[in-house]
Amino acid sequence: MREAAMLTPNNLSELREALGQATPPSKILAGGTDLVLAIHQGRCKPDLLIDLSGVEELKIIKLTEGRIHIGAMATFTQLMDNQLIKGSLPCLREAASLIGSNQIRSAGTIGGNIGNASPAGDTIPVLLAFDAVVRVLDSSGQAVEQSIDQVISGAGRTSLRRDQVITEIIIPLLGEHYRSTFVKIGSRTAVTIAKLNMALAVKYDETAKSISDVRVGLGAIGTKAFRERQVEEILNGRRVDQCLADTLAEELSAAVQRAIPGRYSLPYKREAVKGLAQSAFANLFPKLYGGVSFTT
Amino acid sequence: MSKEFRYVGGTFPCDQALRKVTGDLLYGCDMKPAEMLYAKLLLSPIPHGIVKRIDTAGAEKVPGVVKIFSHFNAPHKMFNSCRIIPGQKFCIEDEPLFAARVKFAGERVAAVVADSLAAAREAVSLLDVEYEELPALLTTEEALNNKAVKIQPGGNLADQYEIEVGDSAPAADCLVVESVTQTQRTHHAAIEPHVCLAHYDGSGKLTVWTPTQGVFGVRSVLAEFFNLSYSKIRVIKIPIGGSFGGKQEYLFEPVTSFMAMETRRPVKLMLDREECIIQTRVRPAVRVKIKTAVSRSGELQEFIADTTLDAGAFTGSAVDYSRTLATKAPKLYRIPHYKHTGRAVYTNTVKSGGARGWGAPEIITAVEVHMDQVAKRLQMDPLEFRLHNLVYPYDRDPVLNLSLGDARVRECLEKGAEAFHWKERFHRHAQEGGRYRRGVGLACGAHKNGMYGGFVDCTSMTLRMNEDGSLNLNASLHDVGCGTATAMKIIVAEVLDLEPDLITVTEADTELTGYDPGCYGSRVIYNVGACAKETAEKLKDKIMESAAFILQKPKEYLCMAEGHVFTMEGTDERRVLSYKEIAERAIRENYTDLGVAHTYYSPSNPGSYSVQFAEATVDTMTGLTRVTDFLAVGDVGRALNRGMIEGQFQGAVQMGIGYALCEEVKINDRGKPVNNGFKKYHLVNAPDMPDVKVLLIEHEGDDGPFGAKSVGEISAVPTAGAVINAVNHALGTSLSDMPLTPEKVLAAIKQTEDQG
Amino acid sequence: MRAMLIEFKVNGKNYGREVRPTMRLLDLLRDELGLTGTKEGCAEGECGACTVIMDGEAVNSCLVLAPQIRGREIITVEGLEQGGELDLLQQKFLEHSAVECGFCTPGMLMSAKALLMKNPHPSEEEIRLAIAGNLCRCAGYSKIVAAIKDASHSADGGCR
Repeated sequence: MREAAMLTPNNLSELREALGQATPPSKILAGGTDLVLAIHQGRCKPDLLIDLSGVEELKIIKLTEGRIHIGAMATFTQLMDNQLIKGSLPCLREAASLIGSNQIRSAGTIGGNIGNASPAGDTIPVLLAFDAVVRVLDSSGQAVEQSIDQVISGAGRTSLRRDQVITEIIIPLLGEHYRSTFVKIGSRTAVTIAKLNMALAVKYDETAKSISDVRVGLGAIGTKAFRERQVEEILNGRRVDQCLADTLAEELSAAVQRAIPGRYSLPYKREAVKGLAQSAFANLFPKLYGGVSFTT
Repeated sequence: MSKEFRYVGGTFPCDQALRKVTGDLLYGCDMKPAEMLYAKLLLSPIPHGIVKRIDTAGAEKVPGVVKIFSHFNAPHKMFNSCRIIPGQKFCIEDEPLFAARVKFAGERVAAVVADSLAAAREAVSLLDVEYEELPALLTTEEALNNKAVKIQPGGNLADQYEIEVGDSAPAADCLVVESVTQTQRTHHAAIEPHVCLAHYDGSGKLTVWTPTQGVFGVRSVLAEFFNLSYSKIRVIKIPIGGSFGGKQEYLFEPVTSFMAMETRRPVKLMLDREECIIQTRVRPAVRVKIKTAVSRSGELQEFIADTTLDAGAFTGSAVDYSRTLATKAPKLYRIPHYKHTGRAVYTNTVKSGGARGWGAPEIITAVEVHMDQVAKRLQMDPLEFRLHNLVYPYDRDPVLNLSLGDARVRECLEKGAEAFHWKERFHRHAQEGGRYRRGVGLACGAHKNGMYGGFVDCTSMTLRMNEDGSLNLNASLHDVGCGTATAMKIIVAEVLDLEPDLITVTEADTELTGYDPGCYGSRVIYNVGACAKETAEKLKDKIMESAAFILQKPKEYLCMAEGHVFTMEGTDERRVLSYKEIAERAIRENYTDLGVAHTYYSPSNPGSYSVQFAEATVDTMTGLTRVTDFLAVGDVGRALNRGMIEGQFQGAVQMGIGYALCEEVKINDRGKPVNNGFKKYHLVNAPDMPDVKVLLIEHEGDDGPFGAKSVGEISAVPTAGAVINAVNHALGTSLSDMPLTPEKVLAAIKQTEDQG
Repeated sequence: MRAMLIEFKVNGKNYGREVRPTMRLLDLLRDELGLTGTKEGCAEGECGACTVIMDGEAVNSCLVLAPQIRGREIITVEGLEQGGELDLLQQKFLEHSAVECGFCTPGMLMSAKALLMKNPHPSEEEIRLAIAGNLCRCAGYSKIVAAIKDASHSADGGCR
């Protein structure tokens, strides 16, 4: 077995140069929580590893012109600890906090979560719901912005060329009337891969008690996470009450049925998604709910 | 009743705890003698087939590869991995070093020995094996029905038996209840993967370092397999990073020894997690049918059980394990007519093996789930129903014809129910509704204390007082992390009234320590501990004699306390000798060694009991279940090391909750284990574990040291039953197909709703 | 061999080492530096036995490649003891019978240490979440949680 070589760029211009040397089997090493395992198990045999850990520019989280820019190498722990995220994107923080263990969160990165393209990746539904874009740099120095949907093409697959790398995730902030939440079902409370995950964001009209601009990002169903536009349409303009929560539950159940007909996991997921819907709704509109959960 | 103890009942860290917190203790994975080679196994990807050809050309080219082994260049002789003594009953020898015909996906096909682990791994990945696939029988039903495919030469039925005691005459108006419980294969999941190191030196002596539960069994199997003299084999027990029965059988000692003998260099075999899950041993899956007849007032009249145990591909411990299933219910309940039919069946799946509780968690879970169904039919509180039927102290076990000893299960149940506020919670939770539903469940469990009544249970040790008054206890201990070495120190320290820290205790080494069949059968505290106590008493006598000689007083005029021997008060002038003075003068002036040797034979085998109470909270929309409160009550006779005993129960509950709710080694329809790592095989982790309360019932009515009885296994017996009963209480269901995954829970909720 | 020369710090000591690019940090610590206190239990970042602290954060050393630690500071279980004195966490683990087979202990200690370094007075829930990625099969976590809690109750939060 030929040992892989490693390039360790220290800034974006060195990174560009490194990308120029990439061949089809080459791999970008971000946090490593999936790639190192794949290499160790022999599932992945790269000729070249481009380690991003030395590129400080990729770790920055900042707010510019109403958009939050998150460096691709920001770890999940960083997302949890960051005041800007805490204040403006609590649902991304929630998603980050529900990923893996503390150890995984200290190493794993948001860029890696996208690049790894796991159908169950926890930040993806959030990024979809917020219409986040991904900034992609290539070896020529050209940077383009692409949607999450463009970048992730399937389970474990992206549209990125071998000389491209995700440098930034840019999230346009929604206005102050928006509420958002991230919910997940795994097989344990913590350290679990999602069986279902969802981000739900809505614009809430306090006077009319109604919602608009509904955004539903659904994950762990099928080969890649997606926006559930049909459900969004149905919810748009509706008055918030228990009936609406039930509608969301039923519509999501139908969406699951549409997404994975005949799959072994369908009977469970189409039922459990109703619970996910109720939890999401309870998070968005806690006054409607007693806040009952396992911990009470 | 309460006695004043100096050390017994206190809390002490386990023996090597200091070296464990500093990372200084060397486990098998950390040992690296000079010239050591690494072995890596190639495991079968198919469940049944003939190994026709192995192309080793690619592997041989890998730099550092020393030798490649398979059935083509290894003996075809068979061994049995749980045979402790020569000629042991039920121990058919049908396991090869390397398979010529693989019988499960995961079986050893070949091994590469190389200078480095990386080279061995790479070479294994380059081995090209040609298999001729055979039809695989993956379930016990298939195996019993298919007469054409024989997994073992004698067919697929490994063993069957029938036990019946008492008279069959249930009254006509009895309630008859039938249930079926399916238990699943589980992984022991010791955090330390399996490891073995062997060296065959120039003098023809084989030394094996292994984290085993029984060095003398390992030696016996190796001696007979390799035709070596027992005296030319030395097996040394090294630190174990958890076992739970998973390292009890001699899985890799034969194959590692073989490779060491062939290469004449030390060879270490270390498994990874996947290998531990798919090719060591699993707790067997057992299908349990129970039919009981109960009087309307709640007295058991008849108990008829039928069990089918999935043995996996060869015999190992399956026959004994299967037969043991018939011995648990009669230790727990008074049953006028008891009948148990059982069988063990070979399948083309991972081998079943010894697991904490040896059959008791399997059968008791089924029994306790059944008992709740009976109580429900009788409209009786499950607590009351059990009190009608549980055994009393000194009842006789009708199957084994042994006294149950000071069996305090009733007291466990009554005191536990009080502490848990059982009655109130049982009635309150039944009324609750909403998305998150709570329920409570209880289960009783019975186990044993050693092998007395059917197998060798003796142990030999020596104890010596050194010149400075410190002690060396030389015993064949196999501490698997439960603190048995510390327990022995506490016992000796109590008898001789000196600090436990002044005692050094050995672990097992066939060349240096006395005979002991090993750390299983819940025999260590009860029997090895009793031996330590008698040995210490023997030494005490010798110390007193020595002091008597020095002081020129009869020993009846002397007393012992706090590391000194005193002349009795009221005699002439008071004289005091420290242990140091006695030991020094004994050897210097009297040419005497203060050492004793002792062999202890177990005289009894009382029952050990535990009653456990669980509160479960079920999310009825997702089927996710959490155990939100737990109380474990133990009939422990006497607590020797309180902190460690509590830890034993708390750890057992972690295992039992997993058994009830999530753990299962799943095998797909092509015979391959699908959840082959901790990503997919989930253990209960800290956020999902309740803070387990522990209540100990202490009576010291039996023969253990200071009355102590076993803890390690009984603690794991009733847990799953309590959890399942709590879930069924919360939902009004009768779930009994383990584990109770969210999928099954949701399906059951839907079914109950559909039935209105 | 495409070895890379990297510099890093482990337990306060500076090292310069040639490593293979795909060598795991776990193997660097155990095989090259002889720090065998860090254990391998699953090799997939699930059991936490290999947990070490990297620049103040707990990580699974089985999922970090050795070259990734260049210029960084690692603390392993061997680095907890200072000047011959046990870290408060180590003492509390001993006092509370939080150690049984001991194989999860080093990783458990490192997760606990990383927690207390960031959050000297965690709640029980925070403690349980901090060790969610450390599996223990012997003790059911109660005594481990109690030991960490006890260490955090001391004046300096158990951190030097």
